[in-house]
Amino acid sequence: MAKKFTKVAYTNLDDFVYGSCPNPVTTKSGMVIGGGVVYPEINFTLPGMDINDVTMPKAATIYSNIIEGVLKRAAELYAPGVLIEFETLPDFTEHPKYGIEVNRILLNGMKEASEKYGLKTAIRTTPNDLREFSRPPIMRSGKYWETMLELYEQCAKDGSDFFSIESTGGKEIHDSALVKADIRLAIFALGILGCNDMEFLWKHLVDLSNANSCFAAGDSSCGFANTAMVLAEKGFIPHVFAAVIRVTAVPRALVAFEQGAVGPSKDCAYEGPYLKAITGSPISMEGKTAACAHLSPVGNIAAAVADTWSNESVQQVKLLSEMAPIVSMEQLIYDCRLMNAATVNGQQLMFRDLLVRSDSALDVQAYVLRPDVVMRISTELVKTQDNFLRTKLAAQLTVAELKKAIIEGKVKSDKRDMKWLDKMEKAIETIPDDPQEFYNEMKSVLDMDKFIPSEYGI
Amino acid sequence: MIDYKALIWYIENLEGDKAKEIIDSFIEQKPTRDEGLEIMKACQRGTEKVGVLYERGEYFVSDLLVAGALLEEIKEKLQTIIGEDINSFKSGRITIGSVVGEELEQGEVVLAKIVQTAGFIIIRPDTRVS
Repeated sequence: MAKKFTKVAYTNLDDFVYGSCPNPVTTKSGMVIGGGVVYPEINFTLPGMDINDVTMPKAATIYSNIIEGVLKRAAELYAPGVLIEFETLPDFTEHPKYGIEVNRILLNGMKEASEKYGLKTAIRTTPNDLREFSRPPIMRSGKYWETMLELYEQCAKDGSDFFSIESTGGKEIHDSALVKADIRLAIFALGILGCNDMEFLWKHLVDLSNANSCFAAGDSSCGFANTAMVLAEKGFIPHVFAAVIRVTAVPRALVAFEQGAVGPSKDCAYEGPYLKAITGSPISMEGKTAACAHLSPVGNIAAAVADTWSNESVQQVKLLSEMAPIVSMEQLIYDCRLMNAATVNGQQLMFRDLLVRSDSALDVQAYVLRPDVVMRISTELVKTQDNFLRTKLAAQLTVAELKKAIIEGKVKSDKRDMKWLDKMEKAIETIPDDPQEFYNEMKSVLDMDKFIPSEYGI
Repeated sequence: MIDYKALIWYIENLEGDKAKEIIDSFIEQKPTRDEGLEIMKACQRGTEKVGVLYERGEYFVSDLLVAGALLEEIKEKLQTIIGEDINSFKSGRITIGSVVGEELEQGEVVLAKIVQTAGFIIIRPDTRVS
């Protein structure tokens, strides 16, 4: 039975802060995520190399060195706890034995750090969504689906604390929507294909996690809204389009929580503040300290209501000081120390607002992460329970928020922005409220060779 | 009487429906092939202006795609009047890559492919046009 979120989790905007939330999650090691302290979440990967039976021992050694190094540094810097994210490489998911082996190496490293330093740790295991490897994607069966589940199940049995994924349902259509900056197509991909797939996928992941004493944590719109963010950064599409896509992706991400996910949401899900506002669950976020992985216009504001603070990912390469994951670990710990010190000093709200103020007026994508904007839009989104209507509404509300902010001079805008907002507004108005009617309308513009409707239950 | 200036302006400003209305009313007048070629040239001038606006940073890649798709729709409408020669009409030319002699970066290669799908011809700074 899916959960319904009919009201936001906060009554006072001043309670909507980093480090704490109404529904914290306690890990096996006793870390209380969302219980008052912001924890660092470290993510790392191999330097460029092939993965096969011959190279796997080398890969295993690299992961062993990484986990030993980052946890040693965390202990040296008195981290209150560390969340490890193991985001698998596609080969690790396609060949679950590789992924399972590395996950075990990390779990062993965590156990050793606990015994040696008394360090609290937890691990989020994030297999790849390989289903899009089939073209058109096969979403509900087949070898990619099976291997993905196999990896999840064994990792949970071995002791993983959290499950996550950057799922890709609807991406085959959404990619076209992005390059054309076509909001109707984007709403179809996110609100119908994406949400339908999330219902199917997360029901399975929640069942698997419940059966194996593991938490279903959350998904990410990485393939959707983060792609938009990167395309906007390169000047391919308007920043306002990327900002609208960010919020339009919220209902899709929310489906995981309706199905039973409890957080912390995935670090690269910059839509996390909306999820926290609606569900009261903890969220992971990344910003300035993820510049090792990708650039963004939301470096500070992303931390405003974060419960774990992540670096996205970094390769095991040598920097002047140390190996890059150790450097990231140190940076994350200092970021978290500052946030936590402000909390202890009674200045949490002031610090949150500084994080917000330093970014929010400079880019529309930062503006839509302002806690007050998040709360205003979230309050409207929970008034409808239909995923498609919620997606359409998210786009409508964001366009309206941005138009108002630009007119009032609250956010820096490009001379092209208002034209694009008008264009999006008109396009959204033409979308019917009935999803079937909308699908029928879209058939003439959809490339039916790219996706299989039955894989999305339509 | 076709208002060529308005047609060019609508295409330049990506007002596709208005541009197509002009084309439809033109077709209703049972034009000759030469008249068809004339109006096609005007459409091309419109998409060329879109390309210039993109190069000036006033338009996005997505605008190029919209313009390219619009020109394709217009070509479809005019094909019966003009015939196969219609395929020689491209959307315009876009310069990609800022330094003469440098290889395109990975992002620029992707960009070039997208721009080509919109019917534009890619010009490199080191390409000499006589």
